[in-house]
Amino acid sequence: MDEKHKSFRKQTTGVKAERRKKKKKEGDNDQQNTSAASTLEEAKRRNPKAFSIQNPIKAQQEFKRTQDIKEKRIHLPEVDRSPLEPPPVVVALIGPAKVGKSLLMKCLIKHFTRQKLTDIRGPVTIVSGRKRRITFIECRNDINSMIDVAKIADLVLLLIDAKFGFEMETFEFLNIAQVYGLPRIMGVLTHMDLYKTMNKQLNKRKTQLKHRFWTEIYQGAKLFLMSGMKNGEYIQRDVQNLARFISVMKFKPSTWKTAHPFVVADRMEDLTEPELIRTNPLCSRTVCLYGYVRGCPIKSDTPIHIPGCGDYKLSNISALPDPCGLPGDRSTKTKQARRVLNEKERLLYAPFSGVGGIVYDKDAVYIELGGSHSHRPSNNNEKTRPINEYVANILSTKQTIEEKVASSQLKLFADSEPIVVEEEQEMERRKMKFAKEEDVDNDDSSDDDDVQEANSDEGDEVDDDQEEDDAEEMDEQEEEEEHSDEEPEQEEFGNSWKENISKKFAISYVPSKNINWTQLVYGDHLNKTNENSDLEENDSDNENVEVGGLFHVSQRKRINANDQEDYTLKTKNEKHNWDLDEIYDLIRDCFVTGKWEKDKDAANLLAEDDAIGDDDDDDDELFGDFEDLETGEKNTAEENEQMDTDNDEDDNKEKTKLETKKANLKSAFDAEYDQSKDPDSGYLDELKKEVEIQTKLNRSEFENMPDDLRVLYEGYRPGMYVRCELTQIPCEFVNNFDARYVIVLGGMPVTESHTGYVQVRLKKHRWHKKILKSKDPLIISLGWRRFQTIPYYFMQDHNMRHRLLKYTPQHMYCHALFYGPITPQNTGFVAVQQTAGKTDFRVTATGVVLDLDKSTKIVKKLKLIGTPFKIFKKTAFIKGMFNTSLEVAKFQGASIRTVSGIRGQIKKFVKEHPGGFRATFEDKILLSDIVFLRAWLPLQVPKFYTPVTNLLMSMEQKDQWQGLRSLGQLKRDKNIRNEPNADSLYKPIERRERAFRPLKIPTQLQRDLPFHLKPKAAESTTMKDPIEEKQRVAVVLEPEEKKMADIMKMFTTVYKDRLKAKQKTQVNRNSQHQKQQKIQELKHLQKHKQLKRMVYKKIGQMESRKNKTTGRHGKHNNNDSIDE
Amino acid sequence: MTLQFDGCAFLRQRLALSTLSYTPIKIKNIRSQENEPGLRDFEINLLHLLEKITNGSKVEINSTGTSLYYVPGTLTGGVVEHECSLQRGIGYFLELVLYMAPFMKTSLELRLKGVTNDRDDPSVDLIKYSAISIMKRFLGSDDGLELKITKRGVKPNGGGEILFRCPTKMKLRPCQWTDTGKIKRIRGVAYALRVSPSLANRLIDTAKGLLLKFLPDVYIYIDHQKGQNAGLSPGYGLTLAAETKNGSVISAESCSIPRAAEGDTTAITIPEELAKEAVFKLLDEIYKAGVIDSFGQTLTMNYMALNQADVSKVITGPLNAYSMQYLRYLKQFFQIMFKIENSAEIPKHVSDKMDDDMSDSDEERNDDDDDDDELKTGSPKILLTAVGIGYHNLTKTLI
Repeated sequence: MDEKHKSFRKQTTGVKAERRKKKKKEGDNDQQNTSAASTLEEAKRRNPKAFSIQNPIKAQQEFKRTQDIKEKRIHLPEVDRSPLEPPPVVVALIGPAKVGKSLLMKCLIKHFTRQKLTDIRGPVTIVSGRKRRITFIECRNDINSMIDVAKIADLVLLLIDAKFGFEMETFEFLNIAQVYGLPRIMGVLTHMDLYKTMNKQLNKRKTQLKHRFWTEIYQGAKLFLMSGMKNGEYIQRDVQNLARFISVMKFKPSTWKTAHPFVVADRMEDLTEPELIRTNPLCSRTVCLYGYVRGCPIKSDTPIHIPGCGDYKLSNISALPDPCGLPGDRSTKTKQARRVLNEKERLLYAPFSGVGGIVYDKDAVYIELGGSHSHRPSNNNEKTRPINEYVANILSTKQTIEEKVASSQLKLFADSEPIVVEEEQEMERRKMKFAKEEDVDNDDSSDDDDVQEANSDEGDEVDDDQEEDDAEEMDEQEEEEEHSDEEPEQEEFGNSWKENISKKFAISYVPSKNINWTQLVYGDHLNKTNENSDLEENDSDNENVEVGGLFHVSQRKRINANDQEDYTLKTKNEKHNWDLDEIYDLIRDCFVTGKWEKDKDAANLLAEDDAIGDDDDDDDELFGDFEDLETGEKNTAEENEQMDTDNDEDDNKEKTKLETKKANLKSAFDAEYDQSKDPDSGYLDELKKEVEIQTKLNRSEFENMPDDLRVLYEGYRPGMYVRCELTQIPCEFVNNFDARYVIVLGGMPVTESHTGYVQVRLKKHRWHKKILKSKDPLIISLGWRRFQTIPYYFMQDHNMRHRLLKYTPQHMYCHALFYGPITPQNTGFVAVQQTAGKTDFRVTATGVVLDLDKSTKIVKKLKLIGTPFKIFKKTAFIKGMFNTSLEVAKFQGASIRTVSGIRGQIKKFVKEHPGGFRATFEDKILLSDIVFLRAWLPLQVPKFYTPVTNLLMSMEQKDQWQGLRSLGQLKRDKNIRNEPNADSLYKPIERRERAFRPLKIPTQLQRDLPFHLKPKAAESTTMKDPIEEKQRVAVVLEPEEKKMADIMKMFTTVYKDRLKAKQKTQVNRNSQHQKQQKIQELKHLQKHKQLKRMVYKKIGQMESRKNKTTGRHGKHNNNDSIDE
Repeated sequence: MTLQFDGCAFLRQRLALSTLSYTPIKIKNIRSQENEPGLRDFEINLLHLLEKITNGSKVEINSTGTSLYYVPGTLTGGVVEHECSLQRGIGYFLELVLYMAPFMKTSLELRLKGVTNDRDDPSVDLIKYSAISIMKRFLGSDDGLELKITKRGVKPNGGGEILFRCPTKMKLRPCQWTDTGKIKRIRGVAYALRVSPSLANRLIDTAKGLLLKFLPDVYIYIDHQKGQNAGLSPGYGLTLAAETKNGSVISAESCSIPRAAEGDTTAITIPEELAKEAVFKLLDEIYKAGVIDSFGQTLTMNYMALNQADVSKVITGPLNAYSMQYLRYLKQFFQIMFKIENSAEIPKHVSDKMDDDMSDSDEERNDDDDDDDELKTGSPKILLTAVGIGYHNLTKTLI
């Protein structure tokens, strides 16, 4: 690696080099320009107008962009609901088979606890540090487990076989996890030792894997290397590195997890009575599941879904001591000691694997012996149970015998109401209140309306609680005095109405402060009596009605407490007499005119300010609005007097008071000043402050309450170890129980425990090869649940119409609607077509919930087709669209259209054709036109919803289970083929040659045309009209005409013959004439030749003579020329 | 999951909670022991109203009307018009809607026709004063929240009409409302329908005469309607509301006894007496009330429970039977328990931890010994504390 390479030489020629040069030049210029820039700045400062916005649109865009970026950075502050003592972090190990999950888990556990686990089954909880516990879960390599684990994991260790590379499961898991809010993910590369150490191939492989991993998660995601093995374990250093990262990681739980409680079961017990199981092995079981509460607080009776099992109600939940608690605070020790765990504190809890030491139950403590028993935990429990149960029963009795007697009932007759001992108790309880009632009466007697009052009370309905009490405002002393007298009286009036009245007064006016409202509202037995007590009322008017003078109709007007009329405010006429001064005095201070609290009284505050002195003048402004001048004056006077008397003592007090006040003012001013710096953040700051206050309040409200009370109000907080009892669990859950499959008790609000139509936005996964078809079943994992359902895909048109799609789009979002569990909007889901089989990428689609409803709005386009059978101008009669006139009547006024686009309207049915109707169109339609009516047919989405129950299946079935088959698959399996519609089949297309008519130009037009455009006569004669030719009619002539025609024919023949002969002679003559002409011409030529010869001869002679005289040579030449 | 009940009592509470929690309910033995067994007309009418504002709800009533099976649907809202039964006031119907109004699919615009004011049910005026101020707290704003009385009508013939608008919310806001505040003004409405308008003046005169002793800022509006808007029967009444410095409203009302049916002898109401009754009722309410009056108790509890998973605190007066029953039902339907404390008993260290607005009169009473006498603010108050169940509006559509 370290060998020296020849360094790269930069090119000096070419485009790149030039570009580089240019750049360099610019850079130099820039440096020079810096001084220029500073002057520019100065100029800007000097003359800002010259540098104002030049380009407003650009400036606007820039401003918008900066604001957008600014706004994007802001997150809506949320109330932090995370628990103070968090539950163990869930670390899931995920990867394909044979990648080393179990080994890594063992190594990590060994690293954290120094214990070696041999056979790990189910979750293992350990204490990893002073403030952190970890639950390790090994995820099985099937898609159901992966989905479940993705929902609960805080941190995922994704194991990758470096030799093999990425496998389908890894990517499947990543895509599943993304839907539920991506947990923290760390990659672990194993099987590195299969490469020869430190060779090039290995490095290449590493970077390759790393970059692929990064693209999937984020750039720079952690990827660990398990570089080798030693003694069948990973190298300690590697494990240590990984463990360190695990123990310092921070988590942000997803919104789903913060709103839904869940328990990852790490222990299971079957509580069903053995006798029941013996008699009926298939009976439903009562099962106890243990685990830490996670997510948010869980309450008793919350609906629970166990993925892979079904929906249940949490029938009983109780907190148990933490089996794997965090070490106590050791703040006294040294820093080092505080940080490091000692051996005792390194706890390990894994009941499924048979480790965990002491096991607590609700009413018993089991001590795990380990060793020989460790691999049979269930056996162990069964053995101990019967013995324990007896003791446990005694131990568990929280009620005293007295209480038990109180709660027991005695039934005298089968249909009579059980006699409850409680009633007596209640009377006892009421004694005290009855006293007040007596008081009332006594007090009333002083008033004149005493008798009336009593009467009205007697006639009262049960709805007494709202009634008001006149004389509640009695002095406490008086009450006390009469307390002793009332007891015998009370026994006298043992009537039920009296009891109610006593209660009534107690409730309506709360005379004493020690009334226990919680008991009154939530106390069970009181509740019961309230609801079930009947009041009998004898109505004197109805009592003695005689029928026929013989019989009395015994009418007993029974007003059942359950049948009270539903009045919000029962208005009664008993009132305080507010005219009286002492009564008026009771609410004197409710008004602004009354006395104020000390810290709010304006006068008081003013006085304080005065005392502080005149140095802060602003205070007057602050507390300027005071109302009580008179009382204020009094107060100050008093205070002044006091100050005179003990001035020295108060001096220090005043000083401190003053100082705190000043500090408060200063902080208030500072806060205001800081805020005013950034004017935009005001709103956000306020929100943040609000949220902070709420968070604090949430934390502090129940802080000091004992746990058993606190859970009533808050529920079982996350981090508590609980025992959840579930009833009516199918026996398969117990029989086919396998701890290696993670069991999650997913809690949810009551509102989410019912089913309805769920509308989702869905996108087919890009790696899934086929598009999805409407009505094909899918396995969807939404919320906690995994279920099979039948989705319909649709698109939302612009007019919000939900139009059905046959198939999902290839690369686009569409909507889907299915019948399923109601889950809050914005929850993600993942869909798979089948869980078994591992050939293709199984994640079929992902999406998010948009809407929940109890009905559907999906429509499908439907075209009703008809044909016209009679057409008048714009009216046409159309048949074939409907079958009866009733159907037509339903569609009267509907718009219809022809294929060519002529629009019309249905008018009225006609009688001659059943289903025929009259329609009008905007234009005349043709008889050959097809008329159609476009309609939208609402569709019913089938109510099919079945949870996938993989936990209930036996081991073999778990891997092979296939859900509902799609229609196509069914047809393929059963070899069914639909007969195609003959009209839909493709046939060879036959096209006939088409003959066109000639173009006919009107004569008028022809005349006007320029010559070159005019049709030529010759053309017309030569081009015979083929159609006319065919259609020519034989002409039959009259005899007279025939004769004439014959004669004419004869004449023409003779004439033609003569013409012919004439032509012949003419031709002969012409030829002869031409011959003669030729001969003459020849003669003429010969004559001319002779003449020429003679002339030349003469000329030659003359020349020769001339030459003789001039010279020999010339003579000779001349002779030659003449010869030629 | 079906919950079973007996008898017709608290029907509205059961229906409201059933609808909000999507839990089916079965009510048996409805007035089975009475001479006229079964559901009354107004109850059937109420169920009709419920069917109008929900989608997919199912109501099954047996032939005698003594048993009712109700499977709730989703709350849809939208524009709804309903003719209420004249046996009960509109308040009876409107109260049920108030519980559910913020959780509709689309914002509710409800038009109810019937009896706006009567003696038994909270009148629309009272609801307007009391409920709207409470809803404002929990919804966060009063944007789109409106209760308009377009026509008035009294028993027996009704003829009134109201318009109730409410926005939808995904979730409510938690509310710490522990300072009662002092009453700064008293407002009210005196209405006279199909009777002489002087009756309203007489009402006002008497009421003001009584109330001015407490507070100078008293103003009572006259609402004298004419023609169609005055409904179909004569009647008059007075609704009073006391507003505190902290924005809470305490209200009470009184209404004339409806015109006697033929042959019946009922008392005739004298306006002065009626005004006095109304004033006394208001003073009673002030005596009892915390930050809310007795009508608002149930509504406040409802909103506190159906809130985010945060702590809400409200000071009330002594609970009435109606709201106590509601607490029980809330536990039954939603597994939520309220912490109910006498606010006087709250230990000091707890109240110290709370914010300044928590420090109310009672606390003051404890630590200030030198104060000559405690403030006279009526009956001992109760502090209701609850952690919301994390309720979400499950029907609102995301786009």
